[in-house]
Amino acid sequence: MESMSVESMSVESMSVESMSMELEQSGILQETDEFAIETIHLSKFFGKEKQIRAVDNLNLQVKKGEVFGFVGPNGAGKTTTMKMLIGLLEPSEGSGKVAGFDIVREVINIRETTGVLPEPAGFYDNLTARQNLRFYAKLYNIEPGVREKRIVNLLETVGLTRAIDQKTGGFSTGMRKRFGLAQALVNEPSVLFLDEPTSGIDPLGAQMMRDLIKELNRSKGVTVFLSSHSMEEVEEICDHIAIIAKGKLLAAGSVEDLRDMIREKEGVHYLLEVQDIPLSEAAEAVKNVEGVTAFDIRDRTLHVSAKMKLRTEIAKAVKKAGGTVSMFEEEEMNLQKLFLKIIEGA
Amino acid sequence: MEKYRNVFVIAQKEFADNIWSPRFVILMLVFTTIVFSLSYGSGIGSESTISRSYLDIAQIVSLFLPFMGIALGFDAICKEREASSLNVLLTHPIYRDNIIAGKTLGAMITLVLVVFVSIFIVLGTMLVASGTELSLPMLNRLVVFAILTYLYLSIFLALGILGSIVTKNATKSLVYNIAIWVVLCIVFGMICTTTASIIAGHKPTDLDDSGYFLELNADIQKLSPAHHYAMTVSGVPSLSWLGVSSERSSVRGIFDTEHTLEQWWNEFWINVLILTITPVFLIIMAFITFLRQDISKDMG
Ligand SMILES: Nc1ncnc2c1ncn2[C@@H]1O[C@H](COP(=O)(O)OP(=O)(O)OP(=O)(O)O)[C@@H](O)[C@H]1O
Ligand SMILES: [Mg+2]
Repeated sequence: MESMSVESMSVESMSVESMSMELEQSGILQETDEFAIETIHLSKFFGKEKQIRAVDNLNLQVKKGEVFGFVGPNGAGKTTTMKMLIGLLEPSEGSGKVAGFDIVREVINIRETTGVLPEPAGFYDNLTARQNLRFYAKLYNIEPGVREKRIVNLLETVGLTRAIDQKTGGFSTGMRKRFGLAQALVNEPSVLFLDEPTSGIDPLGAQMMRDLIKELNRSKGVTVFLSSHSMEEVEEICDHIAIIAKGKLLAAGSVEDLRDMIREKEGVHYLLEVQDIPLSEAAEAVKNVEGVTAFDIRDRTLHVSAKMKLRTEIAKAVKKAGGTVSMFEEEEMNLQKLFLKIIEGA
Repeated sequence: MEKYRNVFVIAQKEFADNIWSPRFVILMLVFTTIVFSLSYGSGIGSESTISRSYLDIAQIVSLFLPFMGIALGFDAICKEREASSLNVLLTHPIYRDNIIAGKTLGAMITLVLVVFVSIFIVLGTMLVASGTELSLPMLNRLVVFAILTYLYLSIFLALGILGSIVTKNATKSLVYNIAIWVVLCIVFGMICTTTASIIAGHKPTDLDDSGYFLELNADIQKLSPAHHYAMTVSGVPSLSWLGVSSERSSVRGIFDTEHTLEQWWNEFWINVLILTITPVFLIIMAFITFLRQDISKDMG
C-alpha cells in the first residue's frame, strides 16, 4: 500500500509538471481548463434510421465551481445528455469533456471524479443506508477508517442520521432522493450530476434539497450540473441555465442573460415615484425619451414600458423636468413565462 | 490487478446477499433434509449399500439440484435493472465486464458452499449412523463426485445468469429457466423416447426395442447435461423420469469400487469434458450478451 501511494504521488507531480509545460505552449488548453464540462456538437440519435434525435448538436460550457441548470420538458433530452457525459451512452456525433476527461475514452476517470444522482435511482433495498454506502465506497477503494467516518458524515449532511441503520427499502421518496445525493458524494466528487433532484418530493423536501445543493456548491466548490422541469427552481439555485427541448439547445446564459432576452422580446417595465412635480408632468417628460413605448399612472406610481433598458435616460428626463425620483424599480420578470414561450415555439 | 479489484467487491456483496437471503436458506434446508434422510437410511448398512445410496443421492441431485443453480442466478442482472440499482451502480467506476464477472464469481462461490455442505452432511451422517470409518479410496471418489456435481450445477447457474441478462424482469427469467430445467432434467428421458419413436417409426407397444430406435434414443439423450452427469456418477445414460435407457456402462459410475478411478476416467472423460466446457461456454455467452447490451443501445 505504502509504495503504491508514493508511486501515485510521483505520477501526480509529474503530470502537473508536464501539464504546466503544455499550458505554456498552447493557449487553448488554458482556456478549456476553466470548464468543468464542455460539449462540442454532442448528439445522440436513436432508432434504426436514427430518426429519434434525442440530443441534437449540443454545445455547452459549464465553468468550474458553478451551479448549472439544464431545464426542459419531458423528453427534451436531459437524461440522455447526462448519460453521455458520464459515459453510460456513447454519443452518435460530437464530443465532450468532463473534469478534463474525454467522455468516450476516459469514462472510468470521469466516474472516479464525479458523483451522479441518476433518474430513476435504485439502491439495494435489502441493505441499510450504511451498508449501501459502504458498498459504493468500496468501489473507490477508500480506506476503511476514512470510509466509515465519511458514511456517517454524508448521511448527516443529507439529514438521514436517524435512518443510518434502516434498510433503504423502507425509505420515502424524499429520503430516497437525499440518500441518492449521499451516494453521489461518496467519492468527494468535483463535479456533481443531478438528474431531477427534486422531482416527486414535497415542497418542503424540495426546498431542503435546493438548500443542500447550494450549500455543497458554496462550501466545497463542487460544480453542479442539474436537470429540472422547473424554471423557478433553476432560477433560484443556478448561476447559468440552458433551456433544452426536443434535443435542441434553445437558450443559454446566466439568469441575467435570460432576463435580457425577455427584455428584448417583451420590453422593460419600470415603476417610478416622483416628488416635487406632479406625476403627469413627469410622464410628459418621460414620453419623449426615445424607446419608451407606453406609460400609465396608477396608485401614485408611474408605470413606464420601454423597448430596452432606459434607466438612466428616464431618470435624466425626470430630473430635467424638475422632479426628484424617490423610487425607481424594474418590474420582476418571470423566467417561467419566458421558458414556456421558448419551448412552445420549439 | 487494480482494474479487476471491483470484481471482488461485487462478488463479496453477491455472496453475502445469497447466503442471507431467505430463498437460499429455505432451498438449502429442503435439500439437506433430503440428503440427510437418504444417507441416514443407508448409513447402517455396509460400504456397498453406501455406494447404493449415493446413487439415490445422485438421482436427487440430477433431478432437483439444478434448481438451486437456477435460484442463484436467474435474477442476477434483471433484478438490478428492475430496481434501477444498475443505473446507480454504473455511475461508479466499474467496468461492465467487472459487474458480470463479480456476480458470476459470487454465485459460483455460493454454489461451492451448497455442494460441499451437502457432501459434508452425507459423510457425517453416514459415518455416525454406521459407526465405521470411511476408506481413503472412497473419500477420493467423494471428492470427484463433489466436483462433478459442482460442474453440473454450474451449468444451470450459468443458464440462470444468461436468462437474467436477456429478459427484462425476474419473473420471466425464472419461468424460462424452470422450463429449461424441467425439460433437460426431469422429463428429458420421456422426450428422447418419444422423439426417437417418432423418427424411427417405433411403436411404444413394441416389446422388442429395435436397434435403430435405441441408438437414436441414446444420441438424443446426449443433448442434456443430465446425461453426462448420470454417466459419470452412475454409469447410466439417464436418471430422469419416464424414459427408456439402453444398456448401462460396464463401469458403474464413480462409486463402482470394482473399477479403478483410472478405468473410470478412460470410460467417461468425454462426459467430464462436456460437463466442464458447457458452463464455461455459457458464462462466456453471458459476458458477451451483457457487454453487447451496451452504451450505444442504452440498456441500462
Ligand atoms: N434507449 C432509447 N431508445 C429510443 N429512444 C430513446 C431512448 N432513450 C431516450 N429516448 C428518447 O429520447 C428522447 C429524450 O429522452 P430523455 O430521457 O433524455 O428526456 P428527458 O429530458 O430526460 O425527459 P424527462 O424529463 O421525461 O426525464 C425521448 O424522446 C426519448 O423517448
Ligand atoms: Mg429524464
